[in-house]
Amino acid sequence: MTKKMDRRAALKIMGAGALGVVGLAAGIANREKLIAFLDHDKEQNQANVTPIDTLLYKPANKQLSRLGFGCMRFPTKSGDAIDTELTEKMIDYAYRRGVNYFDTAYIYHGGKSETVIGQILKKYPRESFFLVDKMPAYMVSSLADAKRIFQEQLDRCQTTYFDNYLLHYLHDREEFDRVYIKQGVLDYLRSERAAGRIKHLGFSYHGNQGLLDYLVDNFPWEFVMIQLNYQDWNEPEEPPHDARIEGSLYRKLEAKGLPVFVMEPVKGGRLAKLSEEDTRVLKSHEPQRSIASWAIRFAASHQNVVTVLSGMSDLNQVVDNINTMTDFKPLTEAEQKLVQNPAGNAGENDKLINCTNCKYCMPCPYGVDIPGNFQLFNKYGVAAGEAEEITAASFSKEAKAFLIQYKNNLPKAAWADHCIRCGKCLSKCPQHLPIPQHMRKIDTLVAAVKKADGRGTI
Amino acid sequence: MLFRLRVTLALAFIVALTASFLGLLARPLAWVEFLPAVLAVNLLVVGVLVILTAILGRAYCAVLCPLGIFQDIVFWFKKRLRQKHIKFSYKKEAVRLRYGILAVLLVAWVLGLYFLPALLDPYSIYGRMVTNLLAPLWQQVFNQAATITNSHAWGLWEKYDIVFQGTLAIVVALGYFMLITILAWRYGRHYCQTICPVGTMLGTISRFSLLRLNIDDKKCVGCGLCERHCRSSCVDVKNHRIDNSRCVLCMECLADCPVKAISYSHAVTTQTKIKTVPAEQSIELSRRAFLLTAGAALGTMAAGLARGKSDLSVLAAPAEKAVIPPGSSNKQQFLQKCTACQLCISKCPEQVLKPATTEYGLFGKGKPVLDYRRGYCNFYCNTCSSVCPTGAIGSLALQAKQTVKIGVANYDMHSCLILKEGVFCGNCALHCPTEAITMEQMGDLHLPHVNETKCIGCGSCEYHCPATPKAMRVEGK
Repeated sequence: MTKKMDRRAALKIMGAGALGVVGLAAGIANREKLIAFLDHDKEQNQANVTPIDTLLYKPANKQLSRLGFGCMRFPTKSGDAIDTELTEKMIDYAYRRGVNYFDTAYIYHGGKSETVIGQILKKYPRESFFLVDKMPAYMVSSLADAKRIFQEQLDRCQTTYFDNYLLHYLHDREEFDRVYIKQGVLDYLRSERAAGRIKHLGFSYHGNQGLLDYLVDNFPWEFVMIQLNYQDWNEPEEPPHDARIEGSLYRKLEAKGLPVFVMEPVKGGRLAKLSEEDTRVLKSHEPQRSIASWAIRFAASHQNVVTVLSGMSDLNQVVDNINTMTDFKPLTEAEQKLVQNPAGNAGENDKLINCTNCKYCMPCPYGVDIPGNFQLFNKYGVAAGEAEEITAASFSKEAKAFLIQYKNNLPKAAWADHCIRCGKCLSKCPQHLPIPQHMRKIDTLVAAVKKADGRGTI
Repeated sequence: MLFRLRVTLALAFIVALTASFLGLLARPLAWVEFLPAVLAVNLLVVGVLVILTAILGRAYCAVLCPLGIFQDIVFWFKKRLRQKHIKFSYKKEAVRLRYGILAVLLVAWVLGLYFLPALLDPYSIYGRMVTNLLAPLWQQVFNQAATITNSHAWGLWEKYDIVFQGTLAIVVALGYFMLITILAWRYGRHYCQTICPVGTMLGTISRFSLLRLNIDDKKCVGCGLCERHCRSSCVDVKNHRIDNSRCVLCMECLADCPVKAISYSHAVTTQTKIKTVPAEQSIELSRRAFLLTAGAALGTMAAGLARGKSDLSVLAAPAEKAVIPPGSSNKQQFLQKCTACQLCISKCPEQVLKPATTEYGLFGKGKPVLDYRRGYCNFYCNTCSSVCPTGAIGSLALQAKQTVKIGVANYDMHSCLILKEGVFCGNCALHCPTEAITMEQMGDLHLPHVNETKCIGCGSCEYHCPATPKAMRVEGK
């Protein structure tokens, strides 16, 4: 009888669970492989490792690694929980290679980023790395808020000071005046600097040319962090417009002699994958280099740029970026020109939505997953074609793929059709995207594809 | 040989039918089912099934009834695991119970208590079990598999959007599942030979079928294996006879008989050899009684169909506001014909259909109702009307469906966010497929206005309304 019971149990397990088990195993196996690689690397003789390039950061008189570890996109487990084990091993890998700049913020990973990076770095001597945090002005309504948040940040990071501290996401003169001047938060941060709990004070910038000029002309700063990538870089002869202002911003900072830190060099991963023609040109120029490395090197090739940050969420990115910045040679002027328009057809990617998946816009009061919609649109929706041109007759494989990916990866409640164009997200977007317009475009596309697909029509 | 054939056919059929419920086959096979065919007045199918039964016996119960095959599958597990416990013995036919149930159902039918036949119709029971129990499990497994294939770029599989069909629907389906499973495990095809109204109707015909299983008393050594294994308890080995009104042609006795004394053949060959049976045991209906039963059954069903209205409306009353799927001329007819097999619910691509709880009154539960919190009735979809086997949701071409009014939207100004929170909205007007909703200027504001003649009640406005409670609400016509 026991034997028969066993068989029954076995039948049940095999029948219902077989596929699920295989699936889980595949996912786990991949993660195990990464961890095994990292553990193996740890046991190797460190003397053989070539350290990453560094540059003197004058305000601190310290050598900083040219690559900084951004803490906004840690690897996650199911859901949004950070995979702390894998994260720690990835950070350790970078640290062993000389990466000593770690940039977190109050809101990253819903507040968990600070806790995780603080815990991981605790085991290293405090003076051996730069820990960087930011004041979330958009969450501050009084000086007391700022004080509370700053103390909370120190506690979360298990540290007594921050090496660089930034005014997070400056983009709006009104907000800067209200929070930092009227409430006195800027004076408070300066007092913390005097007390040694902040070593150097700067800001991260997402606004237009005018506000930057005002800030650097009227206040003393030790450094500034801006977005810098070759697609949004304008040469002096091109006046700044829309997102293409980064050249102007950088030139202003260089003229002021301020050290520059760079965020979003790869545009939230968008510059890691280019069109086929562009890829072919860049690969033929330098077959060994990854596409993403061009973006990192472009940013690092400007003389006032100290450290280029990259929010790395998987090991390949860490390894590739470290290789890029080890034995670094700046791009020549010709190479800088080349990467801005490799196949000579720049501007064809205009259909892509300029979202870097930073999630500052979230949560949407009506449940729309804004970055999720944009990612899916960029990845599959652009290929699906224009909504007006999609008919049952012209229904393409790409349109079908977009519909399936959209359904598979977004719960119905988070679809673009729930956007009522209230515009509350507009002021939160560091890229200043017209989010409601884009949502309407995606909604129209989904509706057109659904209609052309003819599902349910018999 | 016949045993193998019947098992193969039965398995092929149940797999195909189940697959169509799970969305793997576009064209469902449900139209071959007996009660749905009767309700749909599909005379061709009913005629074929009746003639088939008159010739072959209850072949329908052997290969076309999903609940029968499901019981056989349960029984197969028992055979594998508890072979020694299978000790059936011949039981007398429970004539009063069988025909009592049938009579009650027919009377209920005429009185408008349509839920009663639906409660016991084997196909619909199976449909409810698949929709509420098997489908969610299958969808979980499929989605897991899809995650793997999609991440490895082996192919792009569309995942199911798994929805919760409601506690009541799941509990009811689970109750049926347990009951049927326990009955099948302990008593074999007990449901089919005493309770099932379709079984009783077909059994009345098969009593006189041309072909049947016969025991050759010259070859029979009286070992009793056939009787012990008979899941319908209809083999009387002592008298060498098999009650063909209850035999579901599982063919197991045929396969089991060690001396090949059982054959599937014309009735007359052995009937002459039947030993005299004591009168009280021989509960065979005469041909006259058969004709009477069949006549009464068909007559009452026809009468019920023709009347199409309920006398006991208090019990079966549909809530006025519930929205029924497009394709039915009126709620009464819809409720009369729907057996709550939930095929439409399984196949609705927008998942706006859900099993009713109290929307159709006390006894309408399980029948499809539109719930606009889950989705809306897609303007370009006519799935439910094309899959319904009973004709409860009448067949509609897409163009016709797009003009069918299933309800009308009502605008509640006090819930609308434009007035309540001063936000910019208009999502209802934006998503109205018939342009029935327009934004009209009222003072400084633009507020939605419903053109009731244009509105078809698809619920797109209600689904897309961001307010809680909804400012747009569709009420059934």
